Parts: sequence; C-alpha cells; structure tokens
Amino acid sequence: MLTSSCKTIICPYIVESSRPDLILNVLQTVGRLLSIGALSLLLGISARAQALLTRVISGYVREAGTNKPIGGATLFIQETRRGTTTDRDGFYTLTVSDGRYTLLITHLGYIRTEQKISVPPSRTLNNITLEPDTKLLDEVTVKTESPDRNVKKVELGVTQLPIHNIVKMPALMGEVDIVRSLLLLPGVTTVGEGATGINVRGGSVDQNLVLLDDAPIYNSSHLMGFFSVFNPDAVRDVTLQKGNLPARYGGRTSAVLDVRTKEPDPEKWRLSGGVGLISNRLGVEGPIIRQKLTVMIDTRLALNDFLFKLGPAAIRDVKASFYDLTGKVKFLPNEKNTVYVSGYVSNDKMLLPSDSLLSVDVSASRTGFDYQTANGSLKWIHTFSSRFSMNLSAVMARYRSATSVPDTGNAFRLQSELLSKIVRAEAEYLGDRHRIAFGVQVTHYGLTPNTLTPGPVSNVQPVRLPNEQGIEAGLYAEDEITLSDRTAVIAGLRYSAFAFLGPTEVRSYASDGPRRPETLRETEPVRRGEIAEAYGGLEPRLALRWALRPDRSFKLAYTRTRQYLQLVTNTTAALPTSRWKLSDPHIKPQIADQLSAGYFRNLKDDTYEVSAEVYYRHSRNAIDYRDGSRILLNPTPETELLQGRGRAYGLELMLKKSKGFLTGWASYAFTRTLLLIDSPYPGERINSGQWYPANYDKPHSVNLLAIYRPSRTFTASANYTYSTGRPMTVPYAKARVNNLITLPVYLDRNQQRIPDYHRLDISLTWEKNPVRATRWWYSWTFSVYNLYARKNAYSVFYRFNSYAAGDANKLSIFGAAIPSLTYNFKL
Amino acid sequence: MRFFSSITILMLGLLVCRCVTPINPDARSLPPSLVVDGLVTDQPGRNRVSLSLTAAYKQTALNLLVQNASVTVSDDANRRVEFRETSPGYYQPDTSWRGVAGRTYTLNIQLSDGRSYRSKPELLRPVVPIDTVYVEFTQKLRPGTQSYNKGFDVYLDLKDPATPDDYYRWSWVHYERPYFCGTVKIPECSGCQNFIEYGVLCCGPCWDIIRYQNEINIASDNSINGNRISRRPLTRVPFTSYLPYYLEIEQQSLTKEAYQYLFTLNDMISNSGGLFDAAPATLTGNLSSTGNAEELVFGYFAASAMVIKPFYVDRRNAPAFPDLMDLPPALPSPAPCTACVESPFRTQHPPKWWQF
Repeated sequence: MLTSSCKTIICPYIVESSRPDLILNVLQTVGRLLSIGALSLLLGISARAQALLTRVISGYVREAGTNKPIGGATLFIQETRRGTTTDRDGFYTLTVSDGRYTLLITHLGYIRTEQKISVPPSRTLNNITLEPDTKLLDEVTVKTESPDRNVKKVELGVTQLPIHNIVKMPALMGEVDIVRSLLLLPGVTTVGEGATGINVRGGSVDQNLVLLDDAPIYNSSHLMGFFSVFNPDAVRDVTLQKGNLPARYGGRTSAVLDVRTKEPDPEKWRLSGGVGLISNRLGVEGPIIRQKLTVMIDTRLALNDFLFKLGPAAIRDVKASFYDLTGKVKFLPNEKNTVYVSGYVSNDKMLLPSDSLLSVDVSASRTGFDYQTANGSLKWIHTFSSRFSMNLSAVMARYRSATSVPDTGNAFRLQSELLSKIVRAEAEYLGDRHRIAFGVQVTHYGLTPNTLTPGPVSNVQPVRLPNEQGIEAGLYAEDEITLSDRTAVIAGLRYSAFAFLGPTEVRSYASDGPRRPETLRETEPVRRGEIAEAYGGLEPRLALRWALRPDRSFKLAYTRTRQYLQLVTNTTAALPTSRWKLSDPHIKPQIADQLSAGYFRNLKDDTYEVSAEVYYRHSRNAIDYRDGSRILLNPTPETELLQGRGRAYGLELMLKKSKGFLTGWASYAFTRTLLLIDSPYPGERINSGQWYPANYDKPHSVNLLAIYRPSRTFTASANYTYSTGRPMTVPYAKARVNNLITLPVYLDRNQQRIPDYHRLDISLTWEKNPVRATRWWYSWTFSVYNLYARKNAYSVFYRFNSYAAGDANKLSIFGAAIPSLTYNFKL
Repeated sequence: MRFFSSITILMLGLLVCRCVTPINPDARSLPPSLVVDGLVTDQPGRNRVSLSLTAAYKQTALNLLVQNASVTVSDDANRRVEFRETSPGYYQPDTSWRGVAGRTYTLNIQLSDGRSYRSKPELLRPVVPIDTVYVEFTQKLRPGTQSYNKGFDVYLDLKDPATPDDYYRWSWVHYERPYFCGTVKIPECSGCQNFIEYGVLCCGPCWDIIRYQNEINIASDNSINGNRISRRPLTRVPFTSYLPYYLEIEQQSLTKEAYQYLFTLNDMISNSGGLFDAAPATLTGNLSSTGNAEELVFGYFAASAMVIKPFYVDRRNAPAFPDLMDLPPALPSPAPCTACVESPFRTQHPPKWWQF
C-alpha cells in the first residue's frame, strides 16, 4: 500500500526534478546556437558593419580568483533587449551600434553583474569576471574546509561533515540524523537498522569517543537506536577521526566523533524549527548584548504515542516519547577572551504492555524503560597573543538508564548511572613551522552499576551492586612540524594512567582453574581513596605527510590508545540499559595499536578528490563473553567476561566530487574484524581458541551519495548503500528433550552471515527563494527511505516448534518504501 | 533482551511492512551425539530418563532413540536403582521407587556399543508447598475481528523460604473427558466425493491428557528471597464450557545449575536472532563421557522435589458465554464405539483427584 502510494507521489516530482536540468540543457543548446548564430551574423554582417557603424564587443567570462572560464553565461544588453551566451571557453561576441549600454551578465551560481559600456571604441577584449555566489555554492560543496585540505593536511582518516550537507542527505522518516549519515563513509558500519551507535574500522560501539561540545555522550541514540540524539538544528559540524587520533584525545581505542554546536547569531534574534513525522523542533538564538553575550537554545520533542494508537491492538498500549534540549551561552567580554557555557539534556521513555522482562525474575504486566543524558560544560578560551592561546574547561556528564515495573506487588526500578567529571587545560602555540599543543586532562568516573529498588509494597528485594569509581589522567604534547614544502609531521605523545579506587573489594580466584563464582577464594576490602589497581602507559601518536606534487600526497600514521571504560553486553547490539564497567583488578584495559597509510589526490582543480587508505589495528584485552553469560545484576561480572586479542584491517577507497551542481561521493570499504579468545580452560575459550569474526564484522561495503542542486530553491539527493550481512550463529544440530522441547545445538559463534544489505533512498527539497526579501524562510523535504522496498534482514531466526523443519526465517522491519514529509522554517 | 527488539519491530511494523520470509543459509553438521533427558523426583512414577541422538538441523525426523542402554541411578549412600526401558529410548525405575530430599543422585549410562556416560551429582532439594492458586477471567478483542479471546488466567502464590538459592519450575497436566474417541467419514451419497464426518463414542471411560507445551516456566528467589512469589502465571484455561477444568499443578525444586541450564535453554528457544537477543551459546548440561572428555553430550539430569496440587477451575461464573467447540455430529444410533487406547495423550484410568 505504501509502495503504491509513494509511487504516485513521487512520479510528478521526478518529472519536476528533471525540469531544471532540462531547462539548463535547452538554455545551453540555445546558447550555443545563438553564439554560432552571432558568429555567422558577425561574419555575414561585418561586411556591412562599416556601413551601419556597428561595433563589436567580445571577450571572455571567467570566474574570479580561479580564472576558470564560465561557459553558458548569459550576456544581455538591457537597452537593446538583445543578448548572447558564452561558449565552452567562456568566449562571447556582441555587436552593437554606437551608444551607451548596460551589459548584464548572469550565470547560475554566480553573482549577477552589471557593466556600463560606451561605444565607440570597439571592445574586442572586454573580459568579465564573475564572483561565485557563495551563499549558493557553500551549500553545494561537500565540505567547509578548503578544497585541497584533503591533500594538504597531515592527518588521515578524518572526515568533517558540515550540517548543511547532512541536511541534504535522505533521512529515515525525514528525521535528519547525524550518526546515520556517517554510515555513508567508508569504514563506518552498524550491526543493523535500529542498533545504537556506529562501528568504526572494526571497533565496537563503546570504542568511539562521542563528544558534544567537549562533553562525552554515552548513548547516542533515541528510541532504542533508530534516531541519534543530536538535534540537527543545533549542530554546526561533525568530525569523525578514525585514522590517527590527535594526542589530546584518549580513553577510547577506535575513533572520535566530535560534534560541535553552532555559534549563536551575534546580530539579531532568530527563530527556527520544523515539523516532522517523528519529532518537532523549535530553536531560538540571538544576542542578549550585541556581539558580546549571545545565546542559543534548541529543543526537539517526539511524542509518538499517537502512531501506536493507529496501529494494531497489540501495540496500542505502547507509549514512547523523547525530547532533547541543546543550549549554549557565548560570552565575549573582549577580543582576548571567550567563555562558553553549554548544556545538553536528553530523555527517552517507553512503556511496553509486556511482561517479558528477563533481567529481573518477577512477573509483570507492563515494563517501563527510560534513559537520560544530562551534560554541562564550561569553557574559557584565552588568547595571549596571535600565536599563543589557552583553553580551560570543566565538564560534567551523566548518563542514567532504568527498567521498571509499575505493578504494586512486584514493583521495582532497576537503575544504573555513570557520572563523569572532566577538567582539562590546554595550550596551543603557533610558530612559523610548528604548531605545538600540550595539555592535561583528568576524568573522574562514578559508576553505579545496577540498583534494584522495590516499590512501597513490593515483594522484590532491594539489590545494590557496589559503586565503582576510578580516575583517568592524560598528559599530552603534540607538535605539527612543517619540515619542508613537501613534508610535514605531527609527533605526539600522551601518557595515560588509570586508577580503580576504593571503597571496593578485590576478589581473588583460584589460580589453577577458570574464573568462576565457584572458584572465588577470598575478598579483600579496599578503603575509600585507596587504589585497588592502577594501569597506565605511553601512547605515541605519529602522522607523516609527504606531498609528491601539490595535488597529491602520501600519508602514514601510527596511533596507540588505551581504554578503561567499556560497555559490557552479550547481545549483538548494545542496549541503552547495558552495563558500563570500569577496568578493575580483573578486567584489564584495552590497548589498541593502529597503523594506517593513505594516498590522496585531487583532480581537475580540486573538483574531484580521490583517496585510498589502508589500516591494520591490533588490540589487546579485547572483550567477549562466556556462553550463556548474565551481566545485569551480576556482582562478579569478571566471571562472565573473557579477554583476548583482536585484529582489524581494511582498505577504504573514496572518490568525491565537491564542486558544481552535482556533488557527492562513491566509496568502497573492505573491513575485517576478528577476535581470538583462548585459555587453558575449555569454558574460557570461544570457538575452540580460533580466530572468529566479531558481531560487527562486515567485509564489503559500498556507498554512493549524490546531491544535485541546480537552483537555490531545489535540491535532489540520493544515496545507495550495500554491505555484507553481519555474522550470525546457526545451529549445527537439534535435539529433542522431554518429547516437547526442541533444543538447538550451537557450537561455534559467528560462522554464518545474514543476507547482504542494500538500500536506495531519495530526498527532494524545495526551499523558498532566498532572494525574495521576506523574513520567513521555509523548506519542504520529501524523502523516501528504501525506495525499491528491499526486504533487508533485520534478523534471522529459527522456529523451534515441532512442526517446522528447522527453517531459517528472515525478519525485515523496513521492508517497504517509507515516505515522509518534513517542514522547516527560520525567522 | 528480546522485548526491546520485539517492541522496535512492533513500533515500526506499524508504519512499514514487517515481513518474515524463509531463507536458506548453509547448514552446518555435527555427527550424532547423545542427548540425555533425566529426572529423579520424590514422587513415585515421576522418574524417567530418555535417550536420543541429535539430528541434523534440517532433518524433519527427530526421535533418533537410543535403545538397549543400561541406565542406573546411584545416590550418595551408594544405593543403586536400575532404570529399565519401558518404551523405546524411555527408561523408568519400578513405579514404587522415589528419590529422597537431601540425597544426591548420579546418573550412569552405558550404551550397547560400550560407550559410557556419567552425570555430575545432583542434589534433590526440598520444595515448599504451593500457597494459593487463583484464576482471573479476562476477555480481549482479537485484533482485526469481532470475536473475543476468552479465558481464565491461572496464577499461583507461594512463600519463599528464608534460605537463598531456591529455584522453582512449574508445569501442569490437564485431564478432560473427550466427547468422542474417534471419527469416521461417510460419503454423502454412494460414489460421492464429499464426506460427512461423524464422531464415534468411547466404549468405556476415557480421559485426554493435555500437558504444557514448549514452555519453560522457571523462577529464582534471587530478587525476592524470603518474600512471597506472587502472581506467577501458570496457564490460560480456555472458556469452552461451563464444566470445571481439571488441572494437576506441579511445582518442582531445581538446583542452581539446573535453573541456569533451563534459563539458557529458554533464551535459545525464544531467540529471534535480533540485535538485542543474547548471542546463542553452546549449551552443555551436567553429563560427560567417561572415556572421552572431548565428546559432546547434551541434555540434563535433574533431581527435583515435587509437589502436585490438584485444582479445578470453576468456569460457571464468568460474565460471558463460552466459545462453542466445533464438534462433528455423533453417529446416529445404533452406533459402534471406539476403544480408549492407552497412550501418553489418552488413558482409561481416572486421574488421581478426579471427582466427577
């Protein structure tokens, strides 16, 4: 039904979308004909020219700055109402009789220019330069960085996406999603639609450091995993670092996702917002004191209950809602100082009419589920001189999740909380050949793993797992040295240390057996403030660029990272309620070494960027789980966790076009992630101690993105994505128990794969013409997710009843084309 | 936790098509291995061991029974009892034999080809009685129809003892007298292709035995130790008649290991392969080969104390009319009768607490 309806909606617009293109073609063709005509006229008429005293004006139309010839530009003489267009080389010719004229030169994407001319004399070399219309071009280019930055910068594996590009990409249900848009980059994958977070270069979700204005975000998803927590209206840009991490980042082994909020408007108050299928947005920004004190606040609210009420009876009682609030105050007392106060709050709530709550063993008629993020940060930037600056920041980030049952007799709330407090000082010096940064960062973690609180008359017994606390410190220095025109190097060193602090108890297990609750020998208390265990070490960071020619470079990087905080869950994708765990005497910190190399080349005046990157990552103390492990409410999680080695390697190819009406990219990535968990004890081995693919190992992926913006009022975009199916575990055999229950026999993990994934999305946006001078700007976005209604596998499962012959079944959740319409406005 | 994945599926199922399609991933195989399903209780007649082999996953036939094995159970006082093969692959002791709470039992198996297996010792833990059993009538509109799903939800309460690590399993057996013991099909007219089905009455007293299906109803006292376990759902009794509904409710004790085994098993059975489901695990029970430690043996040998509580669901006072059962007409008399054949699903002997 949806498919047919969306077809009927799309078709007229497809026709319309091709119209500007058509018009352009017609214009160009007509233009060529006209110029040929003009030429023949010139040749034919020039014989009589003397007699009629006509003069010739000719020359080239070129782009300001680059001097690129502009073909197809229209030249129009207002007085005579006659005109011409330039040919492919930007050349034009006009014939006029004596007089004074106004020549109007226009071309799409350039500022309309007027020229006053008086003839005589003939102007046979009247060259014209056109300024690019940056307002338009800015939105067409794929990046804000200078176009050759890809080749010139020293780092590799860094992608920056400005928000106005993310907004142009097709979005699921019209909900612009920053995290989801990153999935179009090579080397970035997800275990499945609806899973929280992203997997970067074979790292798990918790190995990414996700920052929103310097404050860590521990769960980047709304509604389980369908939408990301970042409000697109509040975001300026997103940077993903997956190659070499600068020395100022630490504590995660895989990647850094740095999301920056926009700067509030210093001149006037603005209102913006949007209405969509999933959420509604409203934001306000402006100056309290002009240029000095500015504020911004953006909210997003989703009340999806009404959607469930329209649905089948079974889900009418589901309640789900979320909101988030992003705020920022910027204070500029003078040119030397800037102070930022940022805040972020996000809240998700769900109430399910189900009793299938497996974490706590009670019966329930309804299950509630909620999680919140509350972050606040304060940052002061002080500039000593044009070369030397410093910034100090203090951050507090809290993530809290809970599951609850409201039934009186069995009422309870199972809550966990992670509170981190960060203090950081950093200084930067800019020399002629050096850019030196150094600093220190201290993070205190307070973790309340699981607290089970019964209701007032509940039979449930309270449980409180002991709190965990730890302190992580990082001391770092980095220097970007320009050795010559051709070579540059970033040499960095970070010393990272971690202490697991009391009050706690250190458990010791029998040394001659597996680590199990049965082999627990003794527990030794550790008092408040005492160190139960300490870890640390140096983390070298190195990046090298060698420019072969100005438009091509070769880069090499090495990064070592340590991670002391992890998300422990034995499910394929992490849940918002999954347990966080600090490194302790038993759980060793994860250490990763990544070596990467890349070749970068820009073609045709930086119109095309080509890159190829390879990487190899080796990690120690990678985490996996025992068969049938229980992590929630487990007082001894170390008995369920296994640590081993991990390795990830891959190749990422990308071709990007960042100029012109049509922009976008095509990328291919080959990525493998393997784990090895071996032990002298059979119960502590996984897959008999052999290398096996991790849950998120997806070897091949292809992404295509195209954004076509022929005018200021219309944008069409499409993206296509393909990836290998994620690994799954299939039963080797089945057994019958009690004549009733069919027991599947699983042996090795992740030896099979679910079917491959591919999808095409499109999006069409109409905007109000910005030239028309009214204050109210608006746009309509129509998008279709999964255009050809591919039934991609969300999961593969087996029916275990006695009648089915053990067939595998594929479940698709986005098995149809999903259309959506969003309205956005700005005031 | 599959409820998350199911809810996300539900959520989006509303807006988009949700489709289940069969696919064919490559099958892996495993040489047939022994599957043991053993239970020793403190009730006579409720002790059994069944032996079978694993089947390839795609194979439809399931019961690859292991016959002619020698099966014995010994306790911690070194008393042995022999389990004899009463039906193929199904071994039982004398009907008078029963286990004793507080003793530890070990299962020994020797196959006809000489391979032998042994279980870890399993403690028969005592179990507290069932406190109360109660029913609640509910009716819900079946989605997309005008008909109601009517039934009686049966719950039970019990007082958990103060000791930690008590584990429970519940199951039930229902007996009911069938209207007919068989059916015959008679052509509407001679040479017709259309048949009319008639019910054939039983020759003597007969009961159908209906057991719980495919459910593992277990609980631990971890979160409620010493308090009441309340509103534990047991089953839903259909509202098909005003007659009382006869149930034998069984409550068993479990060891911690048996509980964990069943818990994982339950997880695996209900696993939908979703993102929020636990990764499938190799589930080995408490049995191992005595000769070859690497040999895979599946299944579990459990020891349980059992209390059986008879319960009649009174279906007369429901504020609704019962759903009518679709029964064929009886053969017009004089009519032959069909014998009530003894099987796991039918018996001529009245159940122990039958009152009517």
